[in-house]
Amino acid sequence: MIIFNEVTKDFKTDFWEKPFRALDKLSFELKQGNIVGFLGANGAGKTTGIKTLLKFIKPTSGSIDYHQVLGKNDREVFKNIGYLPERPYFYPDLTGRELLTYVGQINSIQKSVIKSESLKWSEFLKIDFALDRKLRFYSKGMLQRIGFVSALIKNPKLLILDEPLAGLDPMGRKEFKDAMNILVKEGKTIFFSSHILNDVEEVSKDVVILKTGKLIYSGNVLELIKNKSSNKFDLLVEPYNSELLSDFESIEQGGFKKISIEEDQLQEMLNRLASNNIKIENIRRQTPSLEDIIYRIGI
Amino acid sequence: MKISKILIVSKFTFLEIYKSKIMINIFLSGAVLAILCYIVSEFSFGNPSKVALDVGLGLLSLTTKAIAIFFGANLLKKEIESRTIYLILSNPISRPEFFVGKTLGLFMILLLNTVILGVFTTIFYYYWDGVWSDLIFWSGVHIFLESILILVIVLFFSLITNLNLAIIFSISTYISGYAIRGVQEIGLVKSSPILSKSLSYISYIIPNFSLFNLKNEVLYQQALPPTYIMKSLVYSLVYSSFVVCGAIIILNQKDLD
Ligand SMILES: Nc1ncnc2c1ncn2[C@@H]1O[C@H](COP(=O)(O)OP(=O)(O)O)[C@@H](O)[C@H]1O
Ligand SMILES: [Mg+2]
Repeated sequence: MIIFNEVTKDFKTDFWEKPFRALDKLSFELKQGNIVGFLGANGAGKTTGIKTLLKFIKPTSGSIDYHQVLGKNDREVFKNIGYLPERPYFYPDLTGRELLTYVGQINSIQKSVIKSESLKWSEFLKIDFALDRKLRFYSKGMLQRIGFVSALIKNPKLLILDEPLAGLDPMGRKEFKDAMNILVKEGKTIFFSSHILNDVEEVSKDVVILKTGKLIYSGNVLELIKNKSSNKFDLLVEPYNSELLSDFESIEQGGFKKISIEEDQLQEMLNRLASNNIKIENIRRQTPSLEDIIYRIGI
Repeated sequence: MKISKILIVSKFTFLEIYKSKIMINIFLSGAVLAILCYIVSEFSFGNPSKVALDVGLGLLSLTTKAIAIFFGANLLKKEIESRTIYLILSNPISRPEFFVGKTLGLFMILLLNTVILGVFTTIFYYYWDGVWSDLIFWSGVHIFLESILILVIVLFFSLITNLNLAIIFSISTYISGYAIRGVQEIGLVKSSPILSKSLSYISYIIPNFSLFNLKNEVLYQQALPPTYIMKSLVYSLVYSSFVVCGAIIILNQKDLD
């Protein structure tokens, strides 16, 4: 749906200092129909990438292509993109309902549709009770919810959510994740940033990983885990006289001994265990979580 | 540019400012006017109808300028700094449409302020036996035009500098716009071709605010030629169009971060 072509963004900080490079030749493609996690530590450049995508800021070099599906021009493209900002600050003196009406009207949505969509999504995201309150009285989590509703009422093809789960209570996080899963089943594409690995691993199929403005990985989460998974095996065996296998390190684990070995040593180890009559409790290929991998590639 | 989009933005801008209780201030100004007139009439310091007119137009001029400067300086600044602008610009609307919509919203607030205080002034003026003159109406119109000119200048400055400087620059522009006509009339300046030449160039850039001050004409009941009204109307329209275009160009280039 969207292709980043070597997007670089420099920020001028002080007049005499050299500019700060927030995005460094960032290239990746956002495919249709998936939940794509945009992962990176604080300050990695996620928000900058999203702002460039939404044309709030211009790239220093490089370009972003918007697929035909989203529309031929800016107007059509923005009709098809729903956006939830990182820190949703809204007009403090408008009520939630007025905000939704404002956004709905800019999108030329019929009054009755604005009404029904607002109701539907604000009930789903449990913010319907506060629709007639001024936004200045909303908590951060409530703003996040009304912001999500405002991104949804225009029924966009692509949703761009900047740290949508930050600042939500556990129930809210679950409701947001549920909403994301429902939306992607409806055929929408979701691009959401997060610095929390577990969130990305839990909901998204694809992931784009950034480190200090540079792309580290872009693609399927499972594939990343598979590719980066080691050739090591963990064997859990019953306690034995440590002299028998003194050339292998082992650790105690729940009354058993755990031995980690390379794949090519597995056969030899099995033979030795058999010849020494050591019973095997469990053999398992080490499967790291996304978290392990990220720590390994050092983000 | 699509008018419908502009009108939506202006509607909600108006609503937002309206709900921020600014209208209370407008009615307070009306109350101050009434009290002043009452005091004057009770203690007969002077002619109360004249005071109603003087104070009423003075308050109108002061409040429209204050609204134009302070709300104008914040109008886009706040949107950008608190990032509410993202919420709107991530929708099918262009930056120029957004800009014109915001401006129009505050324009409506200024218009409302002018109408309300104008009506108050006229009522009090009549109540204390004032005699109607078209000049009173035109004087209100000129105060309004002047506030629009100030508004677009503040908006322009608010896009290129910070809040405080935008306010300072705008007030400086206003004062120099007034002063420059006076300076041009000074004998010393008139006698120096270089000085008068350069001043006349500058006076093309800095708006001629003295054009909008009809206070003397009103107080001394002088007649106002129709061409004068035409001139100030066209002048403010052309001048503010240029400033708005400049502001739109800047906003279009601007990184919103
Ligand atoms: N307007 C700006 N001027 C200077 N530096 C900026 C600006 N915006 C962002 N940065 C810097 O760019 C880097 C990336 O920021 P950001 O995209 O917000 O990170 P993330 O969203 O991944 O936490 C940070 O180091 C941040 O300080
Ligand atoms: Mg961020």
